[in-house]
Formats: sequence, structure tokens, C-alpha cells
Amino acid sequence: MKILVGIKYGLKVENLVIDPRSRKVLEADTPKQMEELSKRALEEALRIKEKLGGAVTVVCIGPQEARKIITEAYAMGADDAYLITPPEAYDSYIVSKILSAFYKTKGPFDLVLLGGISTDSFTALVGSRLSGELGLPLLPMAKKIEVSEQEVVVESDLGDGTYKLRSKLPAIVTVSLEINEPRIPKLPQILKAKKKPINELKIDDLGLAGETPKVLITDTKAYEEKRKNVIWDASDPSKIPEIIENLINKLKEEGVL
Amino acid sequence: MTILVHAFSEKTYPQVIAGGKALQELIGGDLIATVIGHGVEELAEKVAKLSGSKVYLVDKPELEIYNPEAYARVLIEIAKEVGAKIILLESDIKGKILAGILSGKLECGAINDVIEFEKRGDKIIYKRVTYAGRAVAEEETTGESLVISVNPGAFKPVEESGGGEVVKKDIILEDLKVVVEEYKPKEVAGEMRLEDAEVVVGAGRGIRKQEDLEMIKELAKVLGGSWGVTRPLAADYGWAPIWIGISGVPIRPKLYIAVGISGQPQHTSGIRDSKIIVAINKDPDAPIFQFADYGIVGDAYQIVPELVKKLKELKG
Repeated sequence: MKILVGIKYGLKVENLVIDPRSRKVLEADTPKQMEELSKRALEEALRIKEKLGGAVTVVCIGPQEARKIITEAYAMGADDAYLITPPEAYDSYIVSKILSAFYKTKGPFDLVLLGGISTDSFTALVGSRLSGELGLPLLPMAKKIEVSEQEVVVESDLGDGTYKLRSKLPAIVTVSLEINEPRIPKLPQILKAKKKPINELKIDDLGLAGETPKVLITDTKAYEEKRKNVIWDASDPSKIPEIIENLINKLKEEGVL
Repeated sequence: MTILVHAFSEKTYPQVIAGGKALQELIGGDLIATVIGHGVEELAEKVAKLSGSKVYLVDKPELEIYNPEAYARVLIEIAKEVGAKIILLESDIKGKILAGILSGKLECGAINDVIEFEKRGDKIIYKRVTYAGRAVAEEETTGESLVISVNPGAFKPVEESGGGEVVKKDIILEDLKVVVEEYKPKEVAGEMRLEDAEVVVGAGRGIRKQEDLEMIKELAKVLGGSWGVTRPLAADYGWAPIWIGISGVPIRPKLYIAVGISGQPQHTSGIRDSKIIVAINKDPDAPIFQFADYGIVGDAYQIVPELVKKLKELKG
């Protein structure tokens, strides 16, 4: 089983750095990580490999700093990894173009695993775009996957209910947060991973020179959280009755009781 | 420039059509709606009245349950027939996935989670929610074709005005690669209808056992409101079919009380439109307090019952 996993070098949204005056999101200053859902996609790929044999190839589209998550992917158990430098401006169109060119150049693969909806940008576009572009079946937002040599069956929560989807391989499966708990590599694996070579590709290598994005982000502003932040300390339980009275009075004043 | 509009439920059509009309006002052209499913003729008639436009109805047994591949084929064929350059969908997860498939097939731009359109000079600015709902991005497009999904809650629903027309259309759906073998709809209890509730009480991981949800339900009951949970309680523990948050059900009550909820971005983004937010949590550093108007640092197991008692006294 040849499995391709796309991992995203994503922002830690809980640590989003925001310029207090302009409310602009400072992406460069925000800590980054292997995006949580793509990490689960990798974990699932490794579990499938452990069961059925084969190899897991990881691809990451990102800057040089993203090497750290590729090393992490090696430490988790990836066999082979590629870092692809994107053009200066890129969008879901460029990302799926790169992935589909990679699939055609280095593939074919039996299974492509990706995060279903990245925890930072939250668009759910890359896996679904890729399926549209490659004409491969898409089984989105899997919380459970069963793979055999020929086919894949997934269970997915698509908001209004649970769907059981089946298709032949090759196929693209995107995963949701519930699918698994990713392994934490041990020190020897981390040390070994640091010595593994990271293959690098430029978009020219994939025949995509001159491709430009279809959508450009021109500004990003964080919401202002305008709340009153009146906090009472009831760690001493004897204060609870008084605090609750204060709370009830406030809620009456606000007209919400 | 024709805009093709599609939503997934009777409830969201008025909002998604409103999103389509907001864009149409800026770029001109026609708006055409689609209704896809099985036994949905009545819905199509209603959508025609809402949009006041042509509604393409594709009604087939194999479309009764959402199948992204089948729905994508239908929309592409209709878009081609009517010459629509813009396809505008509802931005729940089903719509977002569809937007991806369509834009991949059409090799055009895609923007999910749009909440507003603005004309600036000769450009259209698409504002969308990003970073787990913590920020709004402004985006521009380069090509003519585009697939977008709009956040239903961001647009004021249109009223039925009449004047539309339903056009029945058959589309052959052979050789689908993905088969939907089973579909189990979520059964959401009436007490959990969160979108329209005036008061919502939410429970997070500070609630240790499923039985302990009883006190959350009791607080909701005495306030005449609904109750809900955070994602882990629903998705990981299965204590409820749905969860409060941007990836689940966003809420906009007058009063939201968050009990034992730490305040992950996914959750706090889904409660932003609440008028007043109260947080009860034992950890003084829990992020939820930054999003709260009133907060109590302490043991929810002592605070909630006391609050219920006092509210009962108050309501007599």
C-alpha cells in the first residue's frame, strides 16, 4: 500500500499573535506546528501501513522552517518526505495544483490522506479540490477508516448525520479530529529522524512555474473581544452565595434574566 | 454574470439566497437557485418564491442523501447550462467540501465562510472568517469563475416574494465512484435546539460524568433555555449529538453560561454573537474568562446548584 500524506505547517490558533493597535494577525510571529488534523492523517497512514505493509510518503508545502515538522513526521514513522517551496503568494488552487502534480510525478499512490479541515484557516478546500482535479473519489472528514487492498470504507460526521462511504482505491480520504490520538515519538526515534534526508522540490520541478493564485488575501484582522471581564473569585466556597447574588443582580441589570 | 445558489435545508435557503442577492447587488446579472434531493418539489416551489427567480430542481432517489460527488456533478451541469460563473453555496461542512470539489474541477478560485461582500473601486472584496473564527480575512479574486460558500447566519433571511419558476431537470448519474452505504441523521432533542435559543447553558470538560449534565439541564430549564456541550463531550464522549462552536452549532443567545469550559478558539468563535457571556471555571487562567462579561472562579459542582436554587427562589 503506497500512501501519500499531505501535512500542513499551520498556525497555533490559540496562540495567535495580534497587533493590538491595527488588530492585524501577525502570522510570522505566531507559533506554528504540524496542523492537528494533518498530524492525525499521518497517524492513520502509519496505522494502515503497520497493518497492510507498504510505505508512507509525506509532502509538506511550506517554508524552510517547516523542516521541523518533516523531521517530526520522520520520527513518527514516515518513510520518505518532501518539502516543496510554494510561490510567494499562494492559495488553495496553488496548493492542490502542487499536490496533484506531485501525485502524478511521484505516484501513483493507492491512498491519499489529508486533514479534512485545517484547524487554522478552516477552509476544508485542499483535499476536496485535489479530488476534483485528479478525478479521484473523495471520502471526506473520516472519523473511522477501514482499508483493504482494493477499497476503502469510512465513517464520517458531516454535520447533519453520520455517513458510511465506500469507494475503490485509489482514493482521497480526509480525516477529522476524532479519528485517532497521534503517537508521540520517543527520543531515539527523534534522534534518528534528524539524520534522515529531506527531499526538496521547487514548483518549477513540478512544471508549475508561472502559476498564480486565484484568490489573494489582502488583509486579516482579528475580532475584538469586547467583554466586561468582571471576574469574582469563589475558590473559597463560603463566598459563593454572595457572588451568585452579585451575578443575578448584574444579569437583571443587563436585561437578560 | 449569473450566480448559481445552493443550500442544504429549508431553514437555510432564505439566508443563503440573501447572501446570493447581496453579491448580485454588487455585480449585477441573474441569480438562479438549485434544489437537489428526492421528494423536494415542495421545497423547490418555496425556494422559487424566496428567490423570485428560476429554480432548477433535480429530484432523484440517488440524491436523497448528500453525496459530494453526485451533487458536484449536478451543480456543474446546471452551471454550464445556465452559464453561471459563480456558484454560491451554504458554508456548512457539506457545502465547504462541495466548494472544494467544484473549484478543483473548474480550476477556479474558492472562498469558504464568506460573511460579507463589499465593492471597493472596481473590485469585490470577499470577507471571510478564518483562524478558527478568531479573525476576518479580506480576499480578492483574479479569475472570472469562482465558487464561494456563505455563512448562513451572516445574512438576513429573504422573505417569500413570489414570481419564481421551477424548472425540472434530469441529470444522469452513472458510475459514481463513491457510494453512500448508510446515513444516520442526527436526532437532536427539542431542548437542544441551540440556534434560536435565548438562553444557552454550555458544559465542558469540567463536567466529569454524563450524569452530571443533569445540573446543566436543570440550570437551562430554570432559565427557560437550552443546553449544549463542547466538542469533546459530543464527539469524543458521545454525550450529545451536536456541539456548540464554529465547527458545530454557532449560537447567538441573549445569555450564554459556560460551565467548566476552558475556551478553545473553536468554541469561543461560536459564541461570539451572544449578548452576555458568563463563565464558571475553577482555573483562573482559563481563556474563557477573556471572552466573558461575568466570571466566577470556583467549583462548578458547588456554584451551579446554588445558582439554580437562587434562580428558583427568584422565579417563585
